[in-house]
Amino acid sequence: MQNAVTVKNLTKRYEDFTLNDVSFQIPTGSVVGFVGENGAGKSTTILALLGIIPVDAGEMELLGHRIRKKRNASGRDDVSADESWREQIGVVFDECNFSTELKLKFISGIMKNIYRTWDENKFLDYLQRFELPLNKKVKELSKGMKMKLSIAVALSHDSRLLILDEATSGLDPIIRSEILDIFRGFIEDGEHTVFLSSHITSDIEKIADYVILIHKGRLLFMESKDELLYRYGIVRCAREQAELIPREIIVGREVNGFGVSVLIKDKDALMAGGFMDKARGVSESPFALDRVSIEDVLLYFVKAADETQGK
Amino acid sequence: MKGLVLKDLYYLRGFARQYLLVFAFMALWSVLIKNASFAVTYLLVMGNSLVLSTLSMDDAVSFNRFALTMPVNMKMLVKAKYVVMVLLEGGMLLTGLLTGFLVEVMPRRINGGSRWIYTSFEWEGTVVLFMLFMTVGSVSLPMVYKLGVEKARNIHMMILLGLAVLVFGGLKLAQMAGLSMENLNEILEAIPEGMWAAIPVGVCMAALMISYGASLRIVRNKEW
Repeated sequence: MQNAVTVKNLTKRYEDFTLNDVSFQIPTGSVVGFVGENGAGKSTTILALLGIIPVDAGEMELLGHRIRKKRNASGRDDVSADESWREQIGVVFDECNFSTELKLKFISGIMKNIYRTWDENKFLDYLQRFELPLNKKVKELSKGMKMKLSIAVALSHDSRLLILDEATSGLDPIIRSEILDIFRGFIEDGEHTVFLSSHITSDIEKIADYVILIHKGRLLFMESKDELLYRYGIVRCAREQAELIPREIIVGREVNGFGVSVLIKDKDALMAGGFMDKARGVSESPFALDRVSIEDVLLYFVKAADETQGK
Repeated sequence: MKGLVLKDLYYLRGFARQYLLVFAFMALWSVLIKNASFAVTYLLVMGNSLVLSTLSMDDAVSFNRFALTMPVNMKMLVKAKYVVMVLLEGGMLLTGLLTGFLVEVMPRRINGGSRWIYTSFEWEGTVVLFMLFMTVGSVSLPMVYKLGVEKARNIHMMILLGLAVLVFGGLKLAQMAGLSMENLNEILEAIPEGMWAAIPVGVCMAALMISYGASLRIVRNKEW
């Protein structure tokens, strides 16, 4: 399987934040959710990936095009002077980037002079589908409508890779669901890819094939979402029962007044090791092995990472 | 780059009615006081201010960061803004010349003068003013990229104020030194005619080129 995005050892240093040695790959034809708390480094990674900010170290490739670490004479970070490969990338940030005074009917006129592959009919179709009136100014649109406009722009040229930076944050669940449907349609043919950064884990859970978790500038994992949801589990039990869980499958634990919740990364291994019987043997307390959500995984991983750093 | 220029022009189009109304008032005022340079200067100041407004809007919606995700590089981004400045100030110059002609020439004819063709409207002065405001705009643009629009707008106003002080202060000092306006005119008339054209054009072109280079350097090192 080809990769739409490859990032190797990406490092970007700021005074108060460092994106540290981040590596991952995004397979073509997939939806990859990029999760992490606010300030974790999601936007920095995306800006570096797009060649908008120079980086200190690392190698990056987007749709087969290498992104340079430093800017060249034209102020661009990609090796090739030819910008045309950017036709194949659609980007949506967390705000609408068109001036508030601009009427929607003028946007196509602007974009067709920027993208060679701009498809005006496609854009007008999207506007109709999203019920965006041509005669309205951007400032007259609601937040959801603005986001739909940005998505319509991102999809109305020859984009094969859609990069969205917190594009669904601040939107109501109905609009978010509509937008996720659009992304599903976009990747249907297996040649299009979506890289979606969000801290709304329910969106990622609904649509992503893979999940990347970043925390304080460090990549904690990249896993298949199905693997994550089916293989990982939370054991809720008494303290003495928790001691029976093999250490190598424990991701993190949380102690509360009723006992312990332990995130494990391999339910099968736990069962195969006879945990159920052993747990009943050491305590009368009831215990449960629950399914996880992406949010659970995120919280346990982050807590475990913080504890490790704290040590 | 055409798309980037169009983006600014479409944006300004949204305010066209307000600007036209204000300008109509200024033109009317000029007719009443029979002084075209008032309206012309206002137009050129407005040209500078419109360029700053487009930059301000770009900042407000993080347009430049977005533009760099498209097949657009930083050179195009900066160049487009200079093209917008030349187009706006050029448009203001043409409107200024037309306004000057109407203000200075038409009233004389309406008043029954048969010598309306001998206009007293000094179009050369308008062209020199255009060069001056292009130079001021050239100083402002790199500052906008370096300091942000709001700080740069203040500095821009300070430059305009400084220029006014320089002109009036200079005249006052000349008077105090015993030089009358006639003396000054004699000195100015001694300058060969070609020099009159060459100096402002040269200064303006040099300012534009230095400014473009400086803006590009600032933008290249910017973290968007």
